[in-house]
Amino acid sequence: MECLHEDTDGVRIIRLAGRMDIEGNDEIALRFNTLTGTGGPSIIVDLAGVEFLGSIGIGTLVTGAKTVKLHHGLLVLCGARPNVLSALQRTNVTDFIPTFGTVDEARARVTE
Amino acid sequence: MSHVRRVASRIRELRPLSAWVVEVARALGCPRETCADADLCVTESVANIVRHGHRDDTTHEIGVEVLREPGALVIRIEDDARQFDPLGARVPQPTSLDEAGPTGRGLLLIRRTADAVSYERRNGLNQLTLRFALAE
Repeated sequence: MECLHEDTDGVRIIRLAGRMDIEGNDEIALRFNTLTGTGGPSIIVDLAGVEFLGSIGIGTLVTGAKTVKLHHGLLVLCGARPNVLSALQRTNVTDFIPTFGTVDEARARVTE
Repeated sequence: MSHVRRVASRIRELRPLSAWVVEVARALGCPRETCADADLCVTESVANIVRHGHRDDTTHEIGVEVLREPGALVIRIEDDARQFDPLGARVPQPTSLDEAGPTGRGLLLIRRTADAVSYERRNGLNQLTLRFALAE
């Protein structure tokens, strides 16, 4: 998996790509946790490149959101493909992590 | 006609197994959404067996059967791990970020993704059957 980031105007965008199953999650979890622990206060996780999201990957996203909240920030998700969005909805994650269609929509939320 | 594959209970077997399930589902005429749902459920089910099913260090085999029935794609997963009924297990369903933990979503994903899930313990084996509805 890939885990890239950019910081612009106080917003960190983390772009994930690949298959976020056990193997993929193991490849990016440490970097993702570091990026969520050191960025912000606002973090956008762009899931557009994620082709598969399993329970272990959802756990990593939830852990990141909790870390950011501990630092009084907000982590939001965007760009999920239909199957990835379904996985987030079926586990109720979209009820407590704001989820948007595009990066622009996510940026509007975290900078409001 | 059914398609059967047996894999060793190792994490590195998950991706080739997933690719095979999607390939077979496609060949059986399943739409993309059903292929993705089957991929997710097989990956979660087999990962659970590999990570939690056995108490010894020896390698076990997991059998996966994929078949098309009228109105459904059916997948059966059979293993010799300790008895575990995924339908009887309690599944946490947090409603807030504060309540949410990092684990415990695999069974919820399986139950909410497949259109029907059934479990049997037969001859010392766990047999999980997943059904995905298909338009005829």
